[in-house]
Amino acid sequence: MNLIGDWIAALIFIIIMSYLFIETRFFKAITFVVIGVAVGHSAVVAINTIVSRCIKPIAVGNIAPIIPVIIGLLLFSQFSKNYKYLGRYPIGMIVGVTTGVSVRGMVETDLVNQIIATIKLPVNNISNIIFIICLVCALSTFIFTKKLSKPWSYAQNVGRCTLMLYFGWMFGSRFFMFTGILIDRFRFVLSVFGIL
Amino acid sequence: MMGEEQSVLEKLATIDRRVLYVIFFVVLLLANVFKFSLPIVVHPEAKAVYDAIEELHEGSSVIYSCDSDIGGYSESGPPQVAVMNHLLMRPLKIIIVACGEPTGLLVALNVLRDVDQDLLNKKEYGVDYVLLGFLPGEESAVAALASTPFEKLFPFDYEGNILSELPIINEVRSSEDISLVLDAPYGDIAFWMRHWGAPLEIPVAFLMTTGYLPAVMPFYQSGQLLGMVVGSPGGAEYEQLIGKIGTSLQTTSIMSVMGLLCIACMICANVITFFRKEEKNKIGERR
Repeated sequence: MNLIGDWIAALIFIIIMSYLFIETRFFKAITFVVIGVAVGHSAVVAINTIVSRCIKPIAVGNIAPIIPVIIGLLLFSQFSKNYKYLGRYPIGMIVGVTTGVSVRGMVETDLVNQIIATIKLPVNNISNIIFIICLVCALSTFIFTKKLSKPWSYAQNVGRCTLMLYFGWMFGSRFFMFTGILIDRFRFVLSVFGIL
Repeated sequence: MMGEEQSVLEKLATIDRRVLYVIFFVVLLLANVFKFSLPIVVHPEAKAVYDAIEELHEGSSVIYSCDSDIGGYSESGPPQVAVMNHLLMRPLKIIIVACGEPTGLLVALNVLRDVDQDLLNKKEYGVDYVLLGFLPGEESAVAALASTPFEKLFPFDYEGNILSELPIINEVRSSEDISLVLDAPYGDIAFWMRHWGAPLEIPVAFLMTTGYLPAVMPFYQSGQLLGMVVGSPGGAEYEQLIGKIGTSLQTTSIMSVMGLLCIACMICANVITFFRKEEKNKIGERR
């Protein structure tokens, strides 16, 4: 069974890589298969989650999940012209809860702690000094309320360069991420064909 | 101009990209066939994770969240497997959960398949480690895990066992019993830091792909993140630390070669562009 699966996986890899040279019907078919598998897997996980967290507890007498089940079912009112408005309530709850949970943690982690760490940074080596200069310049790039005159506009230019360096780093990281994935899959295909 | 022969520079500048793809694949093939490994340096980020796990007392509990996508397992898998091997070497309790992607469960199962099976067989499921399953909600799920006993969120584990009947849950009931969080993130990275790291002051470490390094580094430098094991290079570093060398070292070496090839192509492209401009200027001047 593993042997068949390995050969199918190797074949799919070759078909997908063939897109670099020429687009074929096989490539299109594989993309549909990938989408289908992903959607199917998500559907199975969703159904399992509903059964294990709602249906089973209700079946053994725990009525608490009935309320979220009803709220979740209201989402399907989107398909009705007359009762479409009922779908806004669960969507509002989802957005509200998600936003509330995110903001509560985000302020401390993404803002306050980062600012405190920057303030505490010792200015005793060139690396830290460059960091602070680049940070201030990068932040100045996002001042849109007033056009900065010289010499402050130089700070914005430095800030733009800093941002470009960061984007270059991001690009390089993404390149290596996909290269790592390619190398591993390529090695897998070579092992299936007996070359490795 | 029509009828004029293309110069060498012109031909190079308009080379079919498929030629470059062939060159890349040939280099990839040769690098895989002629196995080699370049020396790597263990970075402080990976060492910090190793030290944190080494310093945990016997019986300490670790929560390991597989939030990554199965599509990136080739890159995110090696650090997870290496760290899981280390966890299995130590007398720890391991809680495995998936809160981000539904395919995180598949990642967790792949990790358990790829770890050293001798180490895994020495541990007992339900006593030393447990796979709780998938908790939908992403950040809401992580926040719920921080404030709710695990039994309430997972009446059953992934294999269908009643969680309250497993011995491990008597020792690891909630976030209060957890000593370390290991997260393999995907997409938004800061869930566990926001709800476990900052408010509960439980150390959080990331096992992730290389693509997220720029986004995560500020959190590491500010001290909010204990450490990180990043992609195949991180996996190779961690394998060196625990003494179990896998395929990560070769992958990392090949990545270096591919990176150098890419840089060479970029330099060539820029040089060709520069000299083409010079050539066009000269042709313009002659006319």
